[in-house]
Amino acid sequence: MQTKASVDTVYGTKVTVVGVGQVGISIAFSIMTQGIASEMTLVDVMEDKLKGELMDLQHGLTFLDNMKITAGSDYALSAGSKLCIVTAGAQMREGESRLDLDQRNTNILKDIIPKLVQYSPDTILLIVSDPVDLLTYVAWKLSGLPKERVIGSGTNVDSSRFRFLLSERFDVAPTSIHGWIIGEHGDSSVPVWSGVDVAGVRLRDLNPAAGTSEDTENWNSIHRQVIQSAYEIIRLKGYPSWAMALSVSVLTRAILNNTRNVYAVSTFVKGIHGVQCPVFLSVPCVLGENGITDVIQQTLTEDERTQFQKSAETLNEVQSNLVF
Amino acid sequence: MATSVEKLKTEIQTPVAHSGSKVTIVGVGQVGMACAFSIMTQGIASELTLIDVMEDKLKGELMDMQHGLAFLGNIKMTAGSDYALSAGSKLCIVTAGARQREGESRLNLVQRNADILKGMIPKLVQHSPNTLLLIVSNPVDLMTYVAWKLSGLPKERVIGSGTNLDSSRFRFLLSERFNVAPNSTHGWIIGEHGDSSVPVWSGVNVAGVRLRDLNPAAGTDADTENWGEIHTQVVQSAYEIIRLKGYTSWAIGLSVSILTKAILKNSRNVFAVSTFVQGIHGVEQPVFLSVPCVVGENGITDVIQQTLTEGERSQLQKSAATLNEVQ
Repeated sequence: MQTKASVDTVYGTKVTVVGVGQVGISIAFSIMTQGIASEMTLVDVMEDKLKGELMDLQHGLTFLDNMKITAGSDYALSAGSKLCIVTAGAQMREGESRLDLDQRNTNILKDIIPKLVQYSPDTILLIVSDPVDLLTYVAWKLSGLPKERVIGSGTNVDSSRFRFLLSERFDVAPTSIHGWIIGEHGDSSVPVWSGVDVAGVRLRDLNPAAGTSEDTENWNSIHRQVIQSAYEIIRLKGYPSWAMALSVSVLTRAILNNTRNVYAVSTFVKGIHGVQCPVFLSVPCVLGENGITDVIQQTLTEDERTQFQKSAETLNEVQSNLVF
Repeated sequence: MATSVEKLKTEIQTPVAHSGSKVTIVGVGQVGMACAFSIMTQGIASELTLIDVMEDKLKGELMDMQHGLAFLGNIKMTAGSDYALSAGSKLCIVTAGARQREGESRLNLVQRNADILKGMIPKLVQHSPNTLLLIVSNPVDLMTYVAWKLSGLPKERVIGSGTNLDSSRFRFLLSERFNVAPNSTHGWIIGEHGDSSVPVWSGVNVAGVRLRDLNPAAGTDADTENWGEIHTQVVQSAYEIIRLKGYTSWAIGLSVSILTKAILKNSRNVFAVSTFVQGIHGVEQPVFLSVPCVVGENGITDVIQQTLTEGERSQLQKSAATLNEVQ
């Protein structure tokens, strides 16, 4: 075989995934099967697991378009990444306080974030680790990157769950149902009922009380199901993975391909919807190659604004107790 | 008073109960779920049913997958322990099976797995009489034979995932040496999916340039470049990956999903899958082994007749004899 030209290292669309637990590796497989990145690096501390997962992924490559996949504990492998996805994080120990858990996670990110930025100074960070809004703030502080380039996966998956559950009631495809959940990714997320629609026909025009406590059709039970979803899935199968993987891979595609789609992701929201604290919460954002370029200004009800602001204050409280 | 949903849409006709390309997966362990997610993300099937005995796990996996649907083309998904859910499947993928216990004989494992299939295969065929069966459970060549016997289906419609995966591993490892993409590197592993699989070195090529033309000893004991080590690595792969991460999932998931796509779309691509090989390459026994097959909507339509060396032929025949013994 004749070699025509030597192969230099070219940084096309390289993604690094930190953490190869169930969420991290599902994200990797989701990116791989949808041909979203041309190069992927997996970083973690468990060398054997990394090597096993790497081999297993590579052995399927003949069935897909080629991509370069590497794995290891050395962050140098991540060099030249357009996007770094962080899934690593601590699980709550028995009897541990929320503050202690948050501090442990802060310490974990202290070890990860600066290294990622060192090897890929132009990268975008996508934080998945929970509690995602808090940790996106922490990652931003540790990274020294502009806030547009530090994104939390936020309520993108909540919105997807919301749309799926709505689709079951409407009996049309989930992608033909539009609805947004914003704010905190968690128990106090905010469903924007006024925006729920199919083909531009608003649910609130068909049922003005939809989503309120006066609603005889009890649409709000859907939002409660969304909040319960993660707990329910953990109870049933041990851990959530697939929906989160799809959520993150679609965000990855938007960033790498500069698609400028709109997704509910966690971003810096001081000044939005009356929030005065420096916190990260999810709102619909336009995503592109340089990160978040725009925030969509939704018209919220008074209740929705209040809920949003309350979440911000709670987050700010927690943030002020962390040691960086 | 009309509900919001009734106000929103006016029905013109009843939607179909089961879509054209429905796939059932039996077994939601790591392999089964990797197959499911692989099929889902590549938009290969329009309907997917998961069957197993663990109700909670099934429900959890179903919810988790459905929650990602807003990011993909819609797929109807159901899950449960009742085989009636599988009705109308074009393809049933069987991943369920026992794993070898420490010190357990191969024969004992085979008997245990045959019993498991006895509970499954007739039900699948009962609910989907026109289905194809794709067997993944190990030892796959034996299990495909058992499934065929239990199903009453013509042999063309009972396929084992076979050495499709071995061939993929082979091509990936070759591609690392050649430094070109795995799907531009061509090579086939046939025969038993396991320790005695047969790498067809004479066929290995890149852009039609055969390795054997560049190195006539490639793959033999006399080979100074030790290409044969690649086949050893393929055989070792599964054990190695299990040792490192506990189980294999992604590669087999992709192997199965590409076979699924070929069947559902009648693409008539060629894959190394386990089929009835009595009469092929001098095999006299009624066994299933992998050879390159043309795969389409009605199952296997053709077998590609490779020119094998004497050594390769006798290896295949030996595997067949061993399998027949166990059967």
